[in-house]
Amino acid sequence: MPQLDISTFTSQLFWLCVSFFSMLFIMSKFIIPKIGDILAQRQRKIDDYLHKAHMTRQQAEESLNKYHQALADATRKADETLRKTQEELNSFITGKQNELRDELHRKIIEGEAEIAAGKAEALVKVREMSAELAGDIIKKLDISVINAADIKNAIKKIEQ
Amino acid sequence: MSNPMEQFVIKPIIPIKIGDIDISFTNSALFMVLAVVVSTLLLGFCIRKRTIIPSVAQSVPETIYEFINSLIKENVGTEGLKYFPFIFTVFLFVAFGNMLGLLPYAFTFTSHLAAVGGLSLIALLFNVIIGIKKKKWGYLRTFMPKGIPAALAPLIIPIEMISFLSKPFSLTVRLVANMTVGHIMLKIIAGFVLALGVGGIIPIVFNSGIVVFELFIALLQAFIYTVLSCIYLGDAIHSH
Repeated sequence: MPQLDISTFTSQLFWLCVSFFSMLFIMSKFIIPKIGDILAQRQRKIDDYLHKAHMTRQQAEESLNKYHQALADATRKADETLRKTQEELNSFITGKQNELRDELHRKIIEGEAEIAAGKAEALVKVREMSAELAGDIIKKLDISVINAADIKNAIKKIEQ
Repeated sequence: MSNPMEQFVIKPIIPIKIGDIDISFTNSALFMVLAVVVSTLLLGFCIRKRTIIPSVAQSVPETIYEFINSLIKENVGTEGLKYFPFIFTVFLFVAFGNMLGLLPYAFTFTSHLAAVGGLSLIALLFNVIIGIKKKKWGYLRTFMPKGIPAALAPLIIPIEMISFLSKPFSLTVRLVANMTVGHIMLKIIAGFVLALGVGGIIPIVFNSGIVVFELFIALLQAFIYTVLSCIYLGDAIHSH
């Protein structure tokens, strides 16, 4: 087996060291820094874009907040106006209702007074008429025992 | 039919000797250097434009980078990221060594014990150095975990030492065995092509399938090698 030929070992080891360490030198001095540089640059670019995206997002969020703020302000104002109008309307309605109620109350009292007066008048007339009627009836029956004063007393008793 | 082991023979291209030590530039050395050059050129080409939005080519090194990155973060933690270049290089070195070996007439240096074992030893030394730097004498705790009675020390210390040394050994054997077996299989089946004449179309189709499979194995083994290196590195930093 050529692999076990010891006479070639020194040459193999010598050239292995030469080539491996020169390769290590070339790689660490030229190739690896270049690749690392590319990757670092790309990472920077990505970070940059991410940062920009983050900033844009923040701006958008700020705008959204402003919009929400404005919306809330407008809503509050509208509510205020609505409430005031409602109050005005309510007080107007209450005033009108009170006026109407007073007016009605007054009319009812007046009407009741008129009715009471009419009733009293009518009662007086009924009393007179019933006394006259009773007198007429007694005269026609020719009863002299009962005079006008007795009739009036009898009417009073009935009324009571 | 040629010997399927022939493809693993190391042949010197430029013989070099320093004193008695043979450091000839061989076909194995050639492919190690090729792995370095090809991976550097390929990655350099892929990331030449450095665009924010990656092209298909650029996304490949980026994916490898992020894969190694997450691997270290998961197995070692954020503090392990300073050893990123080491792990990154180990992965690419093994992955390109495996994949270049799949090209026709290519040599697979990751199928050799000495090369992969050397790499595992480098990784082991790297772990030991980091461990000692981080924990000073406390690194010796690796061989004698806390909370174990001193009476058990004669038993535990050899066991821990074996487990310590078996890590690079298992790393090496796993990778070498996978690469060697895959290439032997390809070679043997390729040998049937000429032997079967017109019927040779069958082994060709079969071999095409195996090459795709071996490509997958090449990446998978590089992945496993890297993951285990990461886990051992995590052990060296956090152990017990």
